[in-house]
Amino acid sequence: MDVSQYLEIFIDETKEHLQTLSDQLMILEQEPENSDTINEIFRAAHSLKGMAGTMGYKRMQHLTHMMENVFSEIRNGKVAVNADLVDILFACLDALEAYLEAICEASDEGTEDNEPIIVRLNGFLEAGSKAPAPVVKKEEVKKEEVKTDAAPAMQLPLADFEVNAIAEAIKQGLNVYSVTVHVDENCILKAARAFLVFKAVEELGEIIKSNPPAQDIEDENFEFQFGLYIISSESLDKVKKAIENVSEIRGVDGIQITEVPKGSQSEDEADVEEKKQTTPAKTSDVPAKASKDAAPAKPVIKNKPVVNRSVRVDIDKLDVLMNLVSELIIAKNGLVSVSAADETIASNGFNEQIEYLERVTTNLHESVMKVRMMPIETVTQKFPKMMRDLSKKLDKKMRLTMTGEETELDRTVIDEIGDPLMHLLRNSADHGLESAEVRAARGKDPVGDIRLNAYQDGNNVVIEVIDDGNGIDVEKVRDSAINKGTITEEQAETMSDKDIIDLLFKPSFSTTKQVTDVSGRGVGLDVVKTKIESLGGDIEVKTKLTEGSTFIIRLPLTLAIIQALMVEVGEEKYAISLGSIQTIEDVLESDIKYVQQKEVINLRGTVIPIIRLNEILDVPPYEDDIESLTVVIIKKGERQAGLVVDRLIGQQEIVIKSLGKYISNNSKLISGATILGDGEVALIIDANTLV
Amino acid sequence: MDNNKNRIGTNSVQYIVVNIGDEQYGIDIKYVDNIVRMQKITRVPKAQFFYKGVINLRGEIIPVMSVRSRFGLSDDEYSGATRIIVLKPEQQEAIGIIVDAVKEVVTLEEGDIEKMYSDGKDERSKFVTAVGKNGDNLISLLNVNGVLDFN
Repeated sequence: MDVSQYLEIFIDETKEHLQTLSDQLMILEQEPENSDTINEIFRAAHSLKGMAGTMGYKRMQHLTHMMENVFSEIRNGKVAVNADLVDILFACLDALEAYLEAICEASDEGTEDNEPIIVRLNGFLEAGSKAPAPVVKKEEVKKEEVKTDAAPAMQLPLADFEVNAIAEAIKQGLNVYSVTVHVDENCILKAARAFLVFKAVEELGEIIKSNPPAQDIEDENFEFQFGLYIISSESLDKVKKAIENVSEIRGVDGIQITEVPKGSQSEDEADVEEKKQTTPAKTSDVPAKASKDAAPAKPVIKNKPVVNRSVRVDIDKLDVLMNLVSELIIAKNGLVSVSAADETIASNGFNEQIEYLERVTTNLHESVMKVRMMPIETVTQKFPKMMRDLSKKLDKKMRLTMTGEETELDRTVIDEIGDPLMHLLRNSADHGLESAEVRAARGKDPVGDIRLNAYQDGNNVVIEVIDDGNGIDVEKVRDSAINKGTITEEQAETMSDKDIIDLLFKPSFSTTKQVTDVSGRGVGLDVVKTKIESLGGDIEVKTKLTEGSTFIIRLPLTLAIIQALMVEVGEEKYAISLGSIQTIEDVLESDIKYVQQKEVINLRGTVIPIIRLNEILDVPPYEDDIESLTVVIIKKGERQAGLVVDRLIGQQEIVIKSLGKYISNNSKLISGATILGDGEVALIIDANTLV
Repeated sequence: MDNNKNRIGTNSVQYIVVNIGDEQYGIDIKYVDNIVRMQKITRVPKAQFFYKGVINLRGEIIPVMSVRSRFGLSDDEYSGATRIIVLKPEQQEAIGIIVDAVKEVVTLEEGDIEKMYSDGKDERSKFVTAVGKNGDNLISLLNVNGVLDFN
């Protein structure tokens, strides 16, 4: 079967299941007895096994199969969860992730068998199987049975709803048979023969259970026999005869079941759900029918999952949609400027129509933006596991608290922000948190506290990574910078603590004395900074020695279309994002004061530095001898600056376009360009770089 | 694609002939995306000196380079004949170059093209790597990748 077309779905769903596994394992570590969690893991492993099997990833299938076995033993109370087991399971998870990665890259799972993990899992299984033989056996037992060739189908493991179905059938006076079908060993198309057997039996009754599962039979994943539970009003002989009529069937053993097999009632729900989850994955109508037929006898389904009313859409399609919206807005801006230029057009209700169009395009834009938004949770959910691994690796106790995971960001930002965040968290764990002894000496909680907060602030999304560790030792950074020749001693004298801390974001600057494999290769914060800046955001750090540090990342909510203030500097037009503008002030030239040779104004008690845009943009001065300056006050976090412009044009919705790769933009002053209504290009000033 | 080429001749290449200063330059037609009239160019502060700025070409922002500045010639003087040739190099973004005038399209056979060898010391030597003979005229064949390579 060609499965390549399903590869994408496989990858997506595998990711989801791996995430569930990871989440649930974290819970399991804390609450080893939590049966919900155990069931959840079992289900995830089971689904993964089924999916990997369908796609032909044998190694992945084998590993998940082993995990499933272990968990079925845990569910049956044969194996207890302990720290050792959790470690192995995390190792399994890593191995599965490695498989997935290989599949993503080469559509092949690779050749790693992960034998050590499987051996250790087996160790747990064996420890479990020493317990008295369970009534409800699971698949690993079955496999052996198949091989020994002596097992009657009677011993098929039954899920509880199946047990109930049998009980119901017996109550209604129907016959329940357990048969084992032996297929001729020379048979080539075993699956086809099995299918015919299924068909023949279904004419006489219902198949409630097969061993191996119908999916495996369909994939020819069985030796030369398989077992069936059948409910039928016909006699056993008739059923057997019907099966034997199928060619290349060597024989049929069967017995009638008159007693209801045992099954523990507490797991009802879980099993039903498990069945439900796996059923849609199966393609043939045989298994579907089997589970459907069993339905009337099923216990009441309590937690029926809400039907998912969402559609998976390729991000490229959304990009196209976004581009179209952008063009629509440019066209609308064009209409606006035409109507402004020509007064005869402006009458006759033309303006109302334009305003209407404007409302529609703005709403359309917002809707498309919303479609592209994803909660930041999609990246942060892998962090708890990462911190757990780090905690073991670094031998430091730490606790990760996350808030605001529901904060939404554009999909493209989400895709990129994971690595920088991971880096910051590692940084905090490795460099930030002190060793247990130091923490004890400082009277801190032995468990280090690392927090990740996300929230929306105006047109920005802020993500903070906070630790209560050592904080940044400014003197150490200063010395290190001098030693490395990044700055001279004279420079160091005049630099403020903040300037020194900013050095950390310079390329190849690492203060750790000891390089660990967690972080500290010197390719740290500068990469984080570059990445975040490429997303149109910025990063700053606040720190207090012995008390901890806070890294604050600020990201734009949207990447493509923003509300902007259009200004003129000289004869050139520039756009400034409305999100970073606080107020617009008229300032008298005489009100400008000098502090350290820099121009500042005192605005209602706050001293704000003044930046003359015409100077930094190399624009020739527009007018001399003006008394009053128009100053646009911009803010970034708590800091402010005033931009002197020559004229205000007004607010406009603009579409951000990249300047491309050719023009070097070392100053990062210009974050992009936009096309105005008259077709002219205006540049967008990145206010964040000026504050 | 290959069939078309064969019809023109096994190894012939079409060039757009343009005037830059006193010289005639040929630009391989496969790189040429568009030829547009001179329009308002928005200056980009702090850009490399040979960039005039950016233009809006049907909704796309295209950087515009002054080949004259790039070649170290005198500043552009725009006239009615001045054109912006939008180049689209393989797997790269489009870029516009300013030329004084666009003359014609010529087809040069392989035999008409003479490679020029340079020692690579002079940056300008990588701009033109061959000369084409079109009748009595000599055309410097522009090495588009060389012109766009700033490193």
